[in-house]
Parts: sequence; structure tokens; C-alpha cells
Amino acid sequence: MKVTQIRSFSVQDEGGRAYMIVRVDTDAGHHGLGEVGIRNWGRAITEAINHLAELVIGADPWETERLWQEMFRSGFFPADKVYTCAISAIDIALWDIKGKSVDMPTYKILGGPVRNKVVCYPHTQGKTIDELVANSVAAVEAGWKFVRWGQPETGGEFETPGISVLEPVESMKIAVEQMGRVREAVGPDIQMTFDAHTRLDTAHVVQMCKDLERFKPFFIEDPIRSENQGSYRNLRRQVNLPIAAGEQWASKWPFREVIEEDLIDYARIDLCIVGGLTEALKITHWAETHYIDIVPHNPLGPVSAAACVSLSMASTNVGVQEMPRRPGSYATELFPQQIEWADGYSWCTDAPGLGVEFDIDAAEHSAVAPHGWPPRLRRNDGALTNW
Amino acid sequence: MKVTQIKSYSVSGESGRGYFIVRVDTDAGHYGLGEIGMRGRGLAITRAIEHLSELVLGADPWETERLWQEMFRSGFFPADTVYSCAISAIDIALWDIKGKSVDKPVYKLLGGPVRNKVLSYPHAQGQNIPDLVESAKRHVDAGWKFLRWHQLETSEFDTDMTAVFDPLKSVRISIDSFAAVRDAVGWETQLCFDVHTRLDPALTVQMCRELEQFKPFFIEDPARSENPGTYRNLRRQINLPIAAGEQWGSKWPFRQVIEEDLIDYARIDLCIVGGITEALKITHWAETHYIDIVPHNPLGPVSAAACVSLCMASTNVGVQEMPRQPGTVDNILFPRQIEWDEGYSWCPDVPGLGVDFDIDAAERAYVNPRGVGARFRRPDGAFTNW
Repeated sequence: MKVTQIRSFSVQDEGGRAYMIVRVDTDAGHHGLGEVGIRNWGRAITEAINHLAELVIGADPWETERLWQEMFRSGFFPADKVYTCAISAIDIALWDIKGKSVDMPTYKILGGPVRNKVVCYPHTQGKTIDELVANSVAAVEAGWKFVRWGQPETGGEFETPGISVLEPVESMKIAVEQMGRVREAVGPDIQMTFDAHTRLDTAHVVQMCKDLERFKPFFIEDPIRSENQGSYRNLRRQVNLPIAAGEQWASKWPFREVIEEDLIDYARIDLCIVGGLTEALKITHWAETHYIDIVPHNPLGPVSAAACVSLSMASTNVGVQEMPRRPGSYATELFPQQIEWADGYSWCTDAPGLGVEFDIDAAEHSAVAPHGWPPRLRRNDGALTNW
Repeated sequence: MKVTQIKSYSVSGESGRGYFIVRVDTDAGHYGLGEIGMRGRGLAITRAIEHLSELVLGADPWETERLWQEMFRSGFFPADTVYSCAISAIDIALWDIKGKSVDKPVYKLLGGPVRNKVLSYPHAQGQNIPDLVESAKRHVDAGWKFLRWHQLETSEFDTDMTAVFDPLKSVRISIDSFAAVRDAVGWETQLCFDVHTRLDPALTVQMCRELEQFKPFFIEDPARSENPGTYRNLRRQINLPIAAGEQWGSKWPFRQVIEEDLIDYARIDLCIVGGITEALKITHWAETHYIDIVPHNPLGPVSAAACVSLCMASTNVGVQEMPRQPGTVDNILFPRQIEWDEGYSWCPDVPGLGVDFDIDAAERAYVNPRGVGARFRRPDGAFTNW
């Protein structure tokens, strides 16, 4: 079996959500799907995929380790995010093909299953506190066992369209109020995860975490920016909440320090950025050595979701799985086959590969430019602050 | 596919070498082979295998991760080396079955191959320097690119397998042996030297200074294995590449020496550490630190095949221990073994590990799997490591 073709598809679903999907074909009739984690950089990543395809076309899809090494290291400069997004999508697609070629689900060839289903958290964001509370209660009523939202904006618009305001001290105050209200609404048995999303400075986040302690969040995520892993040493001394981090890291190396020094509790590996299942598995296995659980980052589409749940089904050290929306309830024209969900848990069936189908005819009509920006934030004084 | 039977075989080959092989059968007709790393503790390990079988019989052999967790953790107390030997053999056999059930070599299921063949080192033999040099030359002539020998004994063994070991004398003659072997084989052949935990750290450090001039590829087990933190001291004082890890029974004892970059070569023993499942995890984290693996393989053809499968699937490999040329020893018990040519070993493109074990021959070759290893005393009568 040989890889014959690698194609990228940038598409938008009926709800306006965009996905960048990679499809790898073989001469054996099996194809595999992967997804790209930084869609806004999609033009560069498309070229990276085309570039890496030169190394992959003609290869046996079972040679995932060799191909990972070739893709990551052949340019002499170690791959970073643009190239690791490309590697991730191709690698995930190869694991999909491997499963299909032996008629087994991907989680099985990863060594699993070790569990039947994976507990998940949805996104319960709201524009106002009332809306957040309503969304949280609705999620609990739908069966979810967790809720999750992010560091709130503080309102107002700058003159430039698309730029809104996040003033740290105000945002901290709102966040504390939000968590109090959500805890009151959902009761003590629902887990709350809170994503600071790299939006605050270290001193601020430490203060906020003190105020959040009494609401017992499951974890606080991305309390600081990701460029300097060593800053987690400082946070670890000062923050008395479980810490989740890692979604922006593009190989095992940025995870090294926070795992080895036990600086985080949950490793937020993004399979579509970190280098695919091959790299995610290596990080997961070493996290096990430190009793650190994974919480794979999954803000993307059905292929990412299936890859994350495959990994979580095959791994002993799993905290919870991010699952913004209920699988199968969105983008069903583009993805007619998705993974399963019931009562707050997701799982991959024993269908071969990842268990996701992507309709490339529908994709042709849904094409959008793989290009864009996330929202941008400024503080009251006009200075850029992280979204 | 379900596991239906797990059987242990303690056997002695035509060569007189002992092996402890585990065979796992399934209802699908596929079977798998594993091997035990501490044959001298074979009676206890036999019971551990029987004990763990209660968790494995009836399971799908593809569930290697779940079964590893169940076997390692179900007794509440984390598995020790007796239990991890049992886990290792069962796990390796399950990987063999997985490969056979989809008609693929094990190295392919491990994500490989990343290489076509694996550079290997043999054991040069000799109780004295002239014999050792003779053996070294023979191996180089046969195509091997590496040689390995160990901290030299200082007296003959008695009939009860004990001998007097004089550390200072051993250091002296070991240095002499290096000079003689280097002189005989030249500078192109790589020399691996195994201290085998026989010396105290201060003496090892002194010896290593003397050995630097002969440029060994690595020095192995320069300290005992109970305290991995000792490698901090050795790292500061030894200016040679360090190999260690063959006695460790999980990834946890490897943690510190990998994370602090205290060793250059991780001597994972697949038949002690917890099988291919555990070895892969260590290998992958060693990659993060640019540490190469040199799988420990003093055992039989099943261990050799498992080690070479891992090396074929791993990017970070130094060299593979291969005491003897595969296929040249004990072919009645093991009618099919992995391949070797010109100092390289590889697994052929056949399903599973690529090793056959004749269980009828094994029934006739049974030996009691209990042994007390060779033992050393210092000239003052004190016990010292063999």
C-alpha cells in the first residue's frame, strides 16, 4: 500500500464554522483524514503540506514513525507550528488509513481501548453572565457533566471593527462573579473548567485564582502565555488550583519542562498542532510517568474530535476531553459520519480507522479561503492583549 | 480473538544455555512468544505468570495498554521486577500475536521501520587477555563492527559458582585488556565495556580515566542500579559515554537519568522492563533528550527479535546487544530466528516477531527455572556484585 495523493480542503459548515481537512489517498482504496490546528495560517500550512507531500507520496502509510522523523527533521530546522500543523494532519490521516487497512479502529492500533467512553466538556460561553448561566444549565440538562467558558471580555468596541476590549482587573472581577453564579446554578456535582486563554498577566491570574478557589473549578487553563514554559514554576508556587496548559505547543519539547518538573496537572495536547497522533502518544506516555493526565485540546471539527477521543480511549491518563459541541449535531453534510456521544461521554465506535467520513463533493461547494484572524483584544489604554 | 492459554517453558538448549519462554495462545489460531529476563528467579516468575493469567485469559490481545495497566497495577502494589518480568513476557507475546493477526511484522505495528537493519555487538569471550584478544579478532573477522566484554574476573570460579573478585586487580587487568584489544583490532571497531555493577563508584571513576585513551563506545553499568541518583556523581566525574538501565523494571527508574541527561545510552531490557509496551514509552521520552537506546539482550531468540523490532521502529538507537549470531545456536528449540549479516541484525518481513519455538522439543528440554547466579567475594570475604 502506498500513498498516492494528499489534498487540503478548507471548508465552512452551515453554521459558519470553518475547518481545514487533509485527505490522504492510497493505491489500496483506503483514504485517511486529518485536520489542521491553526486554520488562520492555512495558506502557509497548505504550502507546507504540499512541500511535505514530496516526502510522503509513494510511502507505506504504516511507516508513521519514519515519516514523522522525515517530515519533522528533513528541513534541517526543526518543524514548528506551520510545519507541525501540516505534519499533524498528515500523521492523523496515516493513522486513519492504518486502522482502515486492517479493519480496526485507530484506538485499537494505539494499544487500546482502556476505557469504553471518554467524559467530555462542552463550551458554554455566554455574552452576558445570564447567558453563560443559561447555557451552563442547558448543557447540564442535556447530560454534560462539565461546563467550560473563557476569560470574559469587558465590553466596548474600539474604532477598528473586530477589536474589542479586555481590561484585566475588570475581567478578573467578572470571571469571579461568573464562576459564583455558575456554581450556584449547576450545583456542586458539575465540574467547571475555566480557560484564562493566556489573556492575563501573571500577577493578575494569581490574584484571580485565589478568588476562584472557593468555587472549586476542575482546572484553570492557560493561566499565562505559552512562549516561556519556565513561568509555570512561578505559577505553581502561587496558584492553588489544578493547572491545564499546552494547546499551543508544537512538539514534545515544549512539554518537557512542565511535565518533568510537575508544573501542570493536565496536558492540553493539540493533536492537530503537536505533530499528530505519533507525537501526542509520546507525550501522553511520558505524562503517565508523572501521573499527569491529558486533556486533548479540541476546538476544531469532527476529525480532530475523533483523533482526540481515539487517543483518550487508548490512554490510561485522561482527565476529560474537550468537545465544544455534541458530535453528530453539526456539519453533518460535510461530515456525514462522526463519533458518538451520549450523556456527556464520547466514544469512537469499532468502525475501522477514526470513524469519520468527509464528503469531498460537499466540500467543493463549501470551500472558503484558509485564511483569517481570530478576534483581537486591546486593553483600555489601547495596548494589544492576547485574545 | 481471545487469549485462551498462557504457558511457561523453562528449557535448556543444545548449547546448554537456558531460556524461559512464554507462549500465549488464542482462539484464532495465532500464538505469541515472550521471554523472561531474570531466569534465575523463574519459579517465582512462573507463579507470577499464572497469577497474571487470571487478568489476561479471555482478553483481546490487541488491548495491550489496558492489559499492561491491569497487570502492573491490579495488585495495588506496583509490579516489581518479578512481576514485571512476567508482564514483559506476556506483553511481548501479545505484540507477536497482534502482528500475526494482521499479517504484519511487529516493527510495523510499532510505527516502523525507520531503518533496514540494526548495528549489533557480540560478546567477546575470554577468561584471560590472550583468549579475549583471540575472540575479539575472530568476531571482527566474522564481520562484527563492535565488541563487548566485561570487567574481568580475577580468579577461577569454584564448583559452587563462587569466585574471589579483587576490584583493584580487576581494574588493572581490565585496562590491560583494553590496550590489548585495541592493539589487536585497531581503531575502527567500537568497544563496549561492561563494568556490570562490579566496582564502587570511586574505583570506576579512576578506571574510566585510564580507559579514555582507548576511546570506548560506552562504559556500561558503572554503578549498581538501586540508586539512579548516583549517576549525578558519575556524570560529573566520568568523561566517557555512559550506558545503564538493564535491571530496571519500569519507566520510573529511568525517569531521573533521562530527565537529567545522566546517561547516553538507555539499556532497556524488554524482558524485564514490562515488555514492548513499556519499552516504547521509555524510548520515546529518551528521544526528547537525544538519548539513544541500546536494548539489553543477553537472552534468547525471542528477546533478540523483540529488541530488534523496537530498534527497527525507533529513531534513537545506538547499537543492539546480540551476544551470538542469530540462527547459529539452539536451532532445534528455535527453528526460525531473526536475520544477521556483517554485524547487522534485522527482523524479516514476516508476521509477528519472526521467531518459532518448538514446544515438542521444549517438553524434552525442560530444566528447573531456578538458579543462583555466579557470586563474587572480595579477598576479605565480603560479598560483592557479580
